[in-house]
Amino acid sequence: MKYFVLRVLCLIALVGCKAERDPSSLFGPDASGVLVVDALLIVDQPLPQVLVSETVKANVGYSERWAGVGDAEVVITQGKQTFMYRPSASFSSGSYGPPLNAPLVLPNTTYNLRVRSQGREATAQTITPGRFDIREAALIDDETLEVIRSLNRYEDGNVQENRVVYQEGLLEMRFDPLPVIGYHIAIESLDPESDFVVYSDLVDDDDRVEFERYGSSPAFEGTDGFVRFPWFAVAYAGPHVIRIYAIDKNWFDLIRSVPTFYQDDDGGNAFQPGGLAGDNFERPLFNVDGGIGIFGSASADSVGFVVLPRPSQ
Amino acid sequence: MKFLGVLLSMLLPLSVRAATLSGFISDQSNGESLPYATVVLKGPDRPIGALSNVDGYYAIQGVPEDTPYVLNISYIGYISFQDTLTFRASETRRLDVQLKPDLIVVEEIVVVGKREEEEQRIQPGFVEVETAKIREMPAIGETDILRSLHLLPGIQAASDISAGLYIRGGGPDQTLILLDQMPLYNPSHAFGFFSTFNPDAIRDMSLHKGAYPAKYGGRLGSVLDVHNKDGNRKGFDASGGVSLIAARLTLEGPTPKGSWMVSGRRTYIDPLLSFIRDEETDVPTYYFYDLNAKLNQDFSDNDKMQVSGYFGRDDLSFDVDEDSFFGIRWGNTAFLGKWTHVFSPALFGNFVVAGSDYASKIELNILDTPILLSNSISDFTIKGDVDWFAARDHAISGGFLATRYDFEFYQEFNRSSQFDLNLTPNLLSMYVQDHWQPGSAADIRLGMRSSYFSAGDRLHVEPRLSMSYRRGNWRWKAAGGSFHQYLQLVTTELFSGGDYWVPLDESVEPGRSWQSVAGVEWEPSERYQATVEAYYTDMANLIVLDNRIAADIDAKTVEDTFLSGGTGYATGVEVFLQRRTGRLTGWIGYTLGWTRRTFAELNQGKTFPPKYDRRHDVSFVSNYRLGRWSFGANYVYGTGQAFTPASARYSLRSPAVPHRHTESLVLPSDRNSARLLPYQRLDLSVKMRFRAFEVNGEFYVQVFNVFNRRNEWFVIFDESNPDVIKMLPIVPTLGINFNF
Repeated sequence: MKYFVLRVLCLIALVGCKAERDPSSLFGPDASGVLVVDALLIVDQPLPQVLVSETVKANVGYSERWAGVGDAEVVITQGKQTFMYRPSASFSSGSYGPPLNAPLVLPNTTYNLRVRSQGREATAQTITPGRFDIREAALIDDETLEVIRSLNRYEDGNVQENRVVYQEGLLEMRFDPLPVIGYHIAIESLDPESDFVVYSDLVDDDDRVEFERYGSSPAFEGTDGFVRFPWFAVAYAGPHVIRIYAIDKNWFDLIRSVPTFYQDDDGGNAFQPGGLAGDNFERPLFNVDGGIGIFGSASADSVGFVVLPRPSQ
Repeated sequence: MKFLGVLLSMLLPLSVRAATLSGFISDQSNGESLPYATVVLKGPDRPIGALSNVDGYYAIQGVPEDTPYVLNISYIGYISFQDTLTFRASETRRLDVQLKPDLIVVEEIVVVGKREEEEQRIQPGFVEVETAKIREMPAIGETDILRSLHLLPGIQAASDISAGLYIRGGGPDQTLILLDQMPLYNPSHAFGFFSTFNPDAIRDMSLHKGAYPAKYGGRLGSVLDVHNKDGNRKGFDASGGVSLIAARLTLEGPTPKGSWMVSGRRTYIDPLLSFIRDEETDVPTYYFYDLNAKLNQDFSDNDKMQVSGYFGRDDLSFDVDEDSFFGIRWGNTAFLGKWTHVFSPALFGNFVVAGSDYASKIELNILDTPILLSNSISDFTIKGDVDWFAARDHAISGGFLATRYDFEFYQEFNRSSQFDLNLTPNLLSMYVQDHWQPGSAADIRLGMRSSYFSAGDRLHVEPRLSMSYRRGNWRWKAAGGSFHQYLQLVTTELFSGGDYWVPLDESVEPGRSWQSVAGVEWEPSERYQATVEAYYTDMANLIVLDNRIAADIDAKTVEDTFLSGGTGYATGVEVFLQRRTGRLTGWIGYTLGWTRRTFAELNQGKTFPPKYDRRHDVSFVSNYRLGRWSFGANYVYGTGQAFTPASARYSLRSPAVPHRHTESLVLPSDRNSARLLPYQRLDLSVKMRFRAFEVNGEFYVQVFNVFNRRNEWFVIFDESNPDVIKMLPIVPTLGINFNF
């Protein structure tokens, strides 16, 4: 028995140390060559460009240039109207533009997309939301939550009452909820040269380059009719714009199933922080037949404001 | 009712003239009760046997009058008690027996394998784990009973840093974990790295891997029943230890008619962390501690009281600056008051008032944006269990349980309340079980458990059956039953620090399983034992957290935040070869298993294996004693865990982001359709016992993952190449244990 144990231990020692693998074994069955469509309709805006590409092998680096599909037939229909798209010469292969006389996107209207290329066909449908308005934008006290002052509704926001000091008070957007499935919020710093305002031990100098001048939220239901904007979404001084999108199901499904759009690869959500073990690595909800991607719609409103550094900075 | 009448008419005539023998069995050295001791009366006809219950009480009914019997009471690691007894007609004799520890046996860490003692294995999948044996196993840091269970067939861990139990294809939420009958909702410290069980405080531990008896309920899979020491009734005793992770101390001693025990443990990672903290280096603070206490008091030979409690906390905080900090605190609190009463020699009862509370709170402030998640689940329980030793062939158990749960979940983001759930369901359960021994070779346990859960007015009746038959060195066993689960654990397969439980409400059906187990056991000698068991579990109404809910979802019901209606199964075969006596002891375990899940809204409705599905699992555990020295080795091999591979890359412009910034994305393949590399690990330990200044001591050196094999943990796919995250490297530790 003792010698048996000894032999077993020696055998284990011989095979036990090595734990390397062929990197290609980390990939599943190849799903390259699937049509990828990308188009978002905004109410009262012109019909959008449609990007058509295809999936590429997982074990090679991705390049938009050679993933684009340049020979596709792209059609958007609305009721009895048909809009034949044309390849956009000014964009990379796979970009298609609407006809010149195309009307603006209508609210509460059904639009259909059909893309054909080399025997492949992808179709999708979206129903546009009604028009959306931010009823009030206010700076509120971060302790009492009482309104300090209301902001003006200027797109550039560069008026006195729309100047807010970084981390002093909270920005709150109030709106009348629409009969939509959810909302999506985005922020953009409009001055690419403005100063960095985050002074925290959380952020080293090397980390500054990782702070983008734009960002977006996870999917929100927004049933309370207000959104309180988190200061961690702001990293720069100067003019900013907040846009709130009332979104359709396709848009909502995509952003709630692709965490990459609003957070790190780790995944997870506010209800369950983290998802490292792969809990969240699940095929996204595309709502595209015969392909993947997004054909969604939204109506949007925005508020501009100016971020001032804290006096101590 | 008709059945009950027939049963009583069969039983009562036996008890009119026959004698009854009953009493408590305890350890002579410290007065601790000895559960599952074997009591056998050998006479001219077939032997009459019984097992002591969890409180060490036994009773044998129907002993014929005026016939000499040899009484044999035996227990693992103790010298058997023998006496010749003759009973008068209708005599009720009380015989409390104290068994003397067998020092030679203890010296060799022998598991005595006499056939009488194997009676406790009537139930397939039942394992009684000796704490002495666990202490001999190599461990990481210090002895951990949950981690040691991972070495048994059919039980596995999610990772090196997880003490969670994945038993026979079930998740960690499918195992009911009891400490002195008090449920512990999150039995872990350090995000699951260590269990909350202090090995010094534990008296015994039993595990039902499946098809558990009617006495238990509320989980789909298995039951781990841990009992703390009662305390030394004979004298003061102190034991403890110091490891690289924590220090612990257990004190116990007698009271005039009882005993007490207090056991505490605390990590000292926080002073070490503060040592490296300075103005330039931000280091979080972290500590955990736990405290067990127990008081036993005998008011008469037939009345005993017990009060026990558990309190444990983990606290991690990281103050970065005035605008940013992070803090997470969680812990269990549990208490129990128990009255044990012997109504008559044949009627034994336990009545319990107990409460358990688990709370976790996560507070973050990221650049002046506060986030708060707090959760608590508490229960208050009144329960009673009665053992009626009705006849020489029948022991009937029954009981009731009434539990009120109080669940709260609150989430706040940026000073806005997002979730505020409060549920207070009630659970009422009753059970009855007949342990029938139709002959000296056969055992049948037929039980029924009925539960009513107030949320949704759920009423379930759960039949339970187990049978065993012994012939020569062979024993055949089979069991089956129905099980329901009314609470759901929300966890990741990595960390357990933020875990929380949610009671199900009327919006989702409680989980349901049917389990069946069959096995055969062979004992060619007292030294060796071999067991083969096959199991199949069918699961329905499974639920998992919906990872795709909106960030501010206005959740009113469980259905709003969970995916429900899942189905699944788990099946496999376990082989267990054990050498139980001699200087060299140990076992080889092998499991061949499959487990699958199906949810309409996951993996496009296709069936998939959970991450912990493992086709092959081999464990090799050995211990060799040589004088003062003890050498231990554990080897584990397992099929790699399942993970979701990438099948393609694509890009989409990020919605809402200005100028539609393009994100390069990875398209997942089918859920968990690929495997990590096989898991392998070898652990070694050397222990040396010594005695100095009237103190018995033990010094140990342990090496976890001797070959420094970096086993794979999980895979992250990003824009570039996949990143494989590895588990723990080689971890050597040392420590000292003492007892005086």
